[in-house]
Amino acid sequence: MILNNKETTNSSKLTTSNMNTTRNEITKIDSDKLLRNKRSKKYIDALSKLDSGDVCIDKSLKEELLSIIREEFEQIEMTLWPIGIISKCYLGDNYEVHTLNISLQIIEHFKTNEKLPYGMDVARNIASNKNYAFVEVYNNYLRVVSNEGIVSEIKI
Amino acid sequence: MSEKIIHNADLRNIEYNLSNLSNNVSNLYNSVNIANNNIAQIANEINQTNNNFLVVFSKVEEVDTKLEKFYQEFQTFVAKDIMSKELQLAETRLVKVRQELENKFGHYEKVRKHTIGILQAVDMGLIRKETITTSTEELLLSTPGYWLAPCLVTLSAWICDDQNLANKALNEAIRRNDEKTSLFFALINRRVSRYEACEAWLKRYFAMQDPKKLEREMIIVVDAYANGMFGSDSSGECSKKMKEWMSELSEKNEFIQEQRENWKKSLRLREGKFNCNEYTYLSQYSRDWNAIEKALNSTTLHDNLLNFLKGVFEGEINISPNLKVALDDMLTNLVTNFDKEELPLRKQENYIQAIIDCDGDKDLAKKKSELSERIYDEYISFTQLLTNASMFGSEVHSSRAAQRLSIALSKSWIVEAYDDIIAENRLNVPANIQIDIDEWNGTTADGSNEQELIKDFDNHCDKKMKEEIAKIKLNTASFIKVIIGIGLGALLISNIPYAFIAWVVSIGIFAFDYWKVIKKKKAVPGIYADYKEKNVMGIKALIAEIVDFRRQYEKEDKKCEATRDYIDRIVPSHYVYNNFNKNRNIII
Repeated sequence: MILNNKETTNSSKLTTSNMNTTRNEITKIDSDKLLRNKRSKKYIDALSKLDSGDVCIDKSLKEELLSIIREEFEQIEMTLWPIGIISKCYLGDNYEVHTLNISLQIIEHFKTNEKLPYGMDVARNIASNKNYAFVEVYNNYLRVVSNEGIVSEIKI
Repeated sequence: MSEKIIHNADLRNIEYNLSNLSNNVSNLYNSVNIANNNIAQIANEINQTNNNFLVVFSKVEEVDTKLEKFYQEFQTFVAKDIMSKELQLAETRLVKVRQELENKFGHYEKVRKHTIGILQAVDMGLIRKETITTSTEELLLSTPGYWLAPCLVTLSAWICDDQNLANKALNEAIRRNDEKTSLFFALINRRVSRYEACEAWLKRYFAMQDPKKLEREMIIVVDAYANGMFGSDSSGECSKKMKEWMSELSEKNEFIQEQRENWKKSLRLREGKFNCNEYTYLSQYSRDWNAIEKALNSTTLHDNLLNFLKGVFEGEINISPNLKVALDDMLTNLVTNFDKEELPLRKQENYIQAIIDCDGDKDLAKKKSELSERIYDEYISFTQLLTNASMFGSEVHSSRAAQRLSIALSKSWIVEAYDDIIAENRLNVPANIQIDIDEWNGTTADGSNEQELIKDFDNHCDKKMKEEIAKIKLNTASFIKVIIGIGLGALLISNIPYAFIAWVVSIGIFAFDYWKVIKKKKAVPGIYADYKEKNVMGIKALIAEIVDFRRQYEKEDKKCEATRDYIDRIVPSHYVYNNFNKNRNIII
């Protein structure tokens, strides 16, 4: 099931023009350091709600989720944000993982053997690992996050 | 009445010709029979040749397998021979390198021994001051340029209360090597309980240090601090400086990343080989076997690392309870093991020793020595110094106490590196495992689709069986025989018995060929039934091994929790000992 919200309301679209202009730009090196920090409980709990209820996730929940993600990566330049987040799917009915593509604001659920978009297939194996809550996919890295928020990095 | 003359027809020609024709037809019939027999013989010979070919082919396969086996054994022999020669060469080269060290730097040994000798002799009051002065002056003459010689002259002048000479000699020692001289006198002053002087020399030493570019003898300071050899003020100075450096370096992400990568390489050295002997089917029938074996090998890290840490943190700390003896050991270490002129030869010695330790395997020796080569770098960062002390304690001449403190101070990087390795290893575990049996392959994650795989294999075998049966048919020769037989019969139609015989024989031969075809076709299902039965058992065995693998991997992977927990409980402040001070140390 694909939810593809392409509404361009100012409050939801994640463009640089909407960023707070008083926020300091953090260099890539500092971003790498910040991205290694433990993730907040709020962020982890929010991502676990992707499996709540139904394959179709309602709009308000999606907005709340995206807002929490923006807050989590607030200090980091947007181009260095994860491309997407992937985690194990507990909806049953052969669903294996779900993905959240941050820039396109799309949440999708995938069955076993269905190919993942946006280059996230590389993270599929470890996203299903029960030791991790989810995986953040970046251009050159995977950052796997445990249930306690501890971040491990894998270079890809 | 007219006469009718009737002549009898002369049929003798016709009879003669017919007889000839009959003979010719008989000859033709015989010739055709002979041709028939020849064709049948050729067909038999072709069959025979076919069979011979199969026999030869089977022999060739056998020879090929033996040749392959011989080649493998030969390769192994050659590799072992090379390793044996490398080992012998390394043993010879090691002697040469050590001889060269002795020739070039052996004269320093006398100066080094004199250092402790003088201190201990003065303690016991067994030597005249003039003797000390004379011997130190002789050493100065015999070791030009060596920093320790003027230090001994300073020491001797101090003992003899000659301040002027002491200052001159000290200036020269500082000129030759300020850092080692400062550290040397910090330890000497500690030895004689001059706490303020010790602290002053230590401050001077620290003032010259750049945490990104330390000389290797800094480990002496870490060692002395960890063992509680300094007084409380000096310990406080050490603690403050180390904290400053840790903070400064932690701000630079490239340092931290470099540290993490170094730790990952160091930790990976602790991975061993898992006993995979029980996976006999997977190793033969799965193209994913290498990944499976690698996944199991990676799990050996957890127990090995835990045992290494327990060895460091739970073993005895072998330090003398007598402060002077402990400091003398420290001084011996400083003057013996950290002269940079010796570094190139020490590096060579390290690599050659690694070849000997690896029984002549140069590639393995290179991998092992690559990491430990860092301990021979002329300059290293404080974080690298801690890594070296943690992982190569004996090679960098640090005590167990220093090793413990170094690991404790490096804890956050060790944890990050370990977490990263665990995640990488988990990523590389094959999610799906492919089974390959001849032309068939199937995939399973955990063996839960066993029935589907067996059914798929069945279908594959049925399809192959039908294809093979379809290929078994009468060949062209059989049809040629029938056509010739019928043709011959047609030619002999005027002579019914001959024609009948021709037809019967040709039909008989055809029937025989047809019977052979039917027989071959009937044999095929039996062959495939055996093939199916054997390989279905193989598939079941493979599934069982896959289930075992998943269970085994999960069990071994879980061991990382105990190791992680052990590392988490390490606290730096617990590893600064207070062996020699009555006062409490200020600790990190």
